[in-house]
Amino acid sequence: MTDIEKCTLCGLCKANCPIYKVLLEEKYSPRGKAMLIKKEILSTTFYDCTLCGACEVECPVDINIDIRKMRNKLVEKGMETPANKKMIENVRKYGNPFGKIEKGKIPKELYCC
Amino acid sequence: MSDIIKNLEEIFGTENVSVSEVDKLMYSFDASQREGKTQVVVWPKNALQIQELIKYALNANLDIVPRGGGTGLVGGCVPNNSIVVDVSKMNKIENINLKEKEVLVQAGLVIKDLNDELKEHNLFFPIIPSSHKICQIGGIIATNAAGIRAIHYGKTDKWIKEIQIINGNGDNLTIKDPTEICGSEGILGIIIGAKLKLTDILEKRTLTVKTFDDIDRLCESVEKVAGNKNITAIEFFGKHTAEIADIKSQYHLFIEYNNDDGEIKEINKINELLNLRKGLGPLIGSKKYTVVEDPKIPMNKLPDFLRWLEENKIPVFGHIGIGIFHPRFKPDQDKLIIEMFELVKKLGGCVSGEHGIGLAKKKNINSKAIERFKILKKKYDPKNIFNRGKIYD
Repeated sequence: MTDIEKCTLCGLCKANCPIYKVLLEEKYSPRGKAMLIKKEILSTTFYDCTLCGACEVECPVDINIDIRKMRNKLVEKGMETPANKKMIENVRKYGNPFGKIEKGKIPKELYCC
Repeated sequence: MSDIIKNLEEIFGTENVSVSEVDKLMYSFDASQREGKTQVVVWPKNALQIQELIKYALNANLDIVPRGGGTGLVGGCVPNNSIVVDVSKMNKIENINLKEKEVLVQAGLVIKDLNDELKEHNLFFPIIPSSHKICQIGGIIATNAAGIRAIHYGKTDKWIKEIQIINGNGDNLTIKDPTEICGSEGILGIIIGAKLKLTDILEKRTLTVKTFDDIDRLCESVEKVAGNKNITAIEFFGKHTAEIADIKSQYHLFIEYNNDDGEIKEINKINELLNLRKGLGPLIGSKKYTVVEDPKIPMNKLPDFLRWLEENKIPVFGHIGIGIFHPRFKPDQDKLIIEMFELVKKLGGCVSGEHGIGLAKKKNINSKAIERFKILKKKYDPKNIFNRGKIYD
């Protein structure tokens, strides 16, 4: 049985989730993300996660929602965030995520992880 | 459909209305693992928006499903092509009256968040369901929740001074007598707030853990301590539950005291043990025992009921001090569930002690209870716009 198959949708993972506790919409909750994985739905909501692991601490059956794996799938499908796209473009072009750096000047837009 | 969205966006603002496939999926299920169909999700910020919604829904003949933490176990907030009203963002503490030991709160406030705020005043709200870290005031009123300390503090209705509810005519009512609204499972209106009674924080907590190989000895032990006024919880789990939790296969009894009578005095150890008990539901659920029941059994019939569970190898835990149990079944054990309900009725118990009827137990509710709900429905929601198909058809 995979981790997500064990999920009973009890929702206890919401208790300490720093994203859900602020935004208070189910799609930001770890339970919501587990439901998306169960349904094999790729959504940019997988980017709305700090990877802090608080959900795993609360989970009564120790489920680790593999957010990184879902993000890899999103990138493979071209569903990146604009910031991520720009960072990669900058690294390729200028060798750093911030873009063109001129001596003594701070880049106008800062892209970083 | 686009007309509905346009009207709802005018009421709630575009950012608080969603018809995205992801949001519709998110609000199509709850902890019962039942799934329905969401038409639109809205996140109200105040009573006026909800009143506007009701007026619009009455004209457009829409079904409205109120929702809180989504922790229900009978599908009470699972929609049926409905507008889901998630009150989670109405989560403020509006006023704490220290002199009267009362607090005025909005319906979306989480029980643990309330109690965290009350700590500095040495007060607390004593209804503690296993899901207290995420379940909300509106939800515990709608289900008249009990929780692990019900033996000492009773159920939610005992701690309600007033309920604020928007009824099926769009009126914002303040109800002083909680009897009609507590346990009405969202079929009478949208609970938007409540004035709650508070009590002094438990200064002292100690715990005794007892184990038994024999059902009669277990029940004798419960009977012996049940009248003790210093006991705040008597929790239990059975042999099969212990096996699933990787604990020695025995009947376990957790007795919490508000004085020094318990053997375990160290608070972290007490919390660890009670958390183990609170986590048993999801743990057993993860082993394919996804169907959860909550029968209430008369105290003098506990041995008969527990023996039946033992004979059928059904994992069980629950609030044995008040006779409420949570046997768990696999989805293909329908026949056993029916057999259990027949036994519950024969023993003089009732099929739902605290989770409610929702979608899951409609077949098992008695005609007297249905008549009562129909009378209340006529009084509060005569046009039937709230939570259609829940409790009865």
